[in-house]
Amino acid sequence: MQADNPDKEESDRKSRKKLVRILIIVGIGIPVLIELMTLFNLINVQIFENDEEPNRQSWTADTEVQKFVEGDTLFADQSRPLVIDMIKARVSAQEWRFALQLTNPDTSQLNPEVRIDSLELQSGKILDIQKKYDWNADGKVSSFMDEWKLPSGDIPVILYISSEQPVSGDSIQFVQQEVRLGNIPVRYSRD
Amino acid sequence: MTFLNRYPKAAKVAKANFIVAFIALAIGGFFGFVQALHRTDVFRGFFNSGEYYTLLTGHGVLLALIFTTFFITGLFVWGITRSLDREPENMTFTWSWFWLMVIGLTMTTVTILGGLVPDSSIRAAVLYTFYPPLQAHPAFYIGLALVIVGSWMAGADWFWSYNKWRQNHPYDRIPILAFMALFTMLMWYVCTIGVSIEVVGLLIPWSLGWVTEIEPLLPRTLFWYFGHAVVYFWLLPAYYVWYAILPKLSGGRLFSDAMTRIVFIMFLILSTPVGYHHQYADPGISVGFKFYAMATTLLLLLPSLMTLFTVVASMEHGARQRGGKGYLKWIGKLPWDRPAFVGCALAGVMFAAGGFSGMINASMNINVLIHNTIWVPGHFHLTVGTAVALTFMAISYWLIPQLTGRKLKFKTLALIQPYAWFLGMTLMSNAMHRAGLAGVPRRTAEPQYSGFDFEPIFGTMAEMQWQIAIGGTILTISLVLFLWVITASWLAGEKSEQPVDDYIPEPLSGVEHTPKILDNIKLWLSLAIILVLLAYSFPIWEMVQDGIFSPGALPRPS
Repeated sequence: MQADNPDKEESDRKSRKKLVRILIIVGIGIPVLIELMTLFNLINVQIFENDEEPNRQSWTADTEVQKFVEGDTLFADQSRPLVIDMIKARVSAQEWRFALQLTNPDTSQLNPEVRIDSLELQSGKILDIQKKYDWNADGKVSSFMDEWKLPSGDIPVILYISSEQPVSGDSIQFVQQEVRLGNIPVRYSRD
Repeated sequence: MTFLNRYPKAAKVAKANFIVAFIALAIGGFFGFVQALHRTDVFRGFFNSGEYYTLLTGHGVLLALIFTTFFITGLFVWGITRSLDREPENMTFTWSWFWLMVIGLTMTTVTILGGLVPDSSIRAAVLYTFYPPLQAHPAFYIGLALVIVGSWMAGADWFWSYNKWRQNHPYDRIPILAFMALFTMLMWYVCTIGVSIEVVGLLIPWSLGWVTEIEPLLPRTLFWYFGHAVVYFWLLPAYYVWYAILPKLSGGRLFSDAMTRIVFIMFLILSTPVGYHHQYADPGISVGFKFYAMATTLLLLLPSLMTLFTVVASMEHGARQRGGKGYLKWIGKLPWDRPAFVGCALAGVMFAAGGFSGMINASMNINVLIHNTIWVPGHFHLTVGTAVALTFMAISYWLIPQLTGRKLKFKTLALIQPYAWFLGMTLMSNAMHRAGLAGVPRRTAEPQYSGFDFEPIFGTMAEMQWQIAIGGTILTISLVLFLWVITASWLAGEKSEQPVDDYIPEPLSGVEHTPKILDNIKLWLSLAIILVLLAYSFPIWEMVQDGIFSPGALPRPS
């Protein structure tokens, strides 16, 4: 037994030394490496990069597509257009909601039946809504508004909306428009 | 015989303070973990983005105000008792300040956590700076006021001990451990004047509805009068450990008693009159006053550079006692297998890095580059988040055994903990600094914007976000290791009359070489007050002249 103790102590001392070596390499060596790489990259960019912005993200074709914001007209090429009166994300401590108000700019015409099909969110998720609005039933109203709950922090980028439009003759049919949304104002409410 | 045996009453008080500190550390640390994952969009399932600001307030208040204050009071109870060799004068008074602080922190914490309860009217998502226009429940402010009053009483307790000691030692020099604690508290008294006026005079009446309008500039100014000096209230106890204990842990002795005293005096004088460097972007304060604050802030580098010299010299002395040779090879002879030493040493290294980014913050024009970006939290996670927090954790491995009479358990985990903290903090803080340079904002639950991309100088935003998340996770693991080791040691460590070697040798250049004028408390306190008056009276007078107490008045000059 007595003879074992010095051996055990020596073995413990060696494992401890090995552990310290690993800790120094990982715990100190990696941080030093990260800082040196940061310094190197900063110097590299400042001294050796040319005058062009080195990290400018290339803009995609998205910028050539119209993005709709408040005041824009949906179904502009159809006989029953709709104007976006209000579009925003309402945020509270408990939830996020997408609010949309549409107006019929030509009150001499019947309000077209509208169907909100779905919303594509920034995260890529699709919020399936499939809700119809027959706002003629409310009497002579020229606008309607609705809100839909959103996953926290996710805002819509595309609105899929259909509205009844007259086609040849007396027939009418639903025409769908893919509406790419611009910057949606986000408003915080204490409620 | 260890501290517990010699001073059982003080040991009980110190332990009580440490228990509160560690509970605050655990909760605040968990909140930090959630934040790191949430704002980087790695995982947002714990809480929603509205609740993020409650977590952020909790993280800041529990760590930067509660953990620090209670650890400091526990540390100073130990230090004052040991160096003056006397238990507290009146245990009823001692326990009263402790319980007053606990009542205050409970009120404050309940109001913060109320923000996580749906439909609760008790909220305090005002962030740790808590200035208007953000408004909290009145109990938040009242609780903070009680914590501050309790801390004043704690300081009074230690001055009481000092005065009693002085009666028995009329010609002795103030023992160095007591000197550092007393000068830290003097600085605390000077700097808490501002925040007390803000909280009691402005915020509590406003939160109770007695005052309906409040002009943010004055509360901000009063907060930042306190807000920079408070970082020294945190830092000086870390320096306390580095000066008084780290040399011993290194195997050596403190290089110079005189240098130590000079540094603490400089912090007493210079800590408070620099607050405007947190208000460079505030309107309503003339640029000349901001420039004065910048100049005095840069002067504050001096005591820290002196500390760098003294502490490293002390460590070198210890390493050479252990057989170290050469210009740099002696570093290898330091006890890198001792958790208390490793934590303190790595904390000091990280503080140097924090000091460099602090110079950017302090420089008025360059500050604009990083104002309100995540660079700022990157900076203070190096300083308070590591220099202070890691030092406190590391020295707990040496202090707690003395207070409990039990040896440390899980020493291997204790050894891994500070290395893990250093790795995690480098990853996280490095990415925060880089992201800040790209303009990523601080205090924001979701700094990702549609139709806009940040432009990092090099690398990608995704890489930085992952670096923050991974760094934050490693820090959390390190924190769990610390709490596990301390709890296990406290409850089940092997009992011992001498659980650690708690002998602290005399400095190499001792008190006999220290000029007596350095012990002249009244002189240095008077100088501190004069500098504060110079720094703050003219700007506040200017604010009054500009109509800060006349709501609705025209801007001046009109």
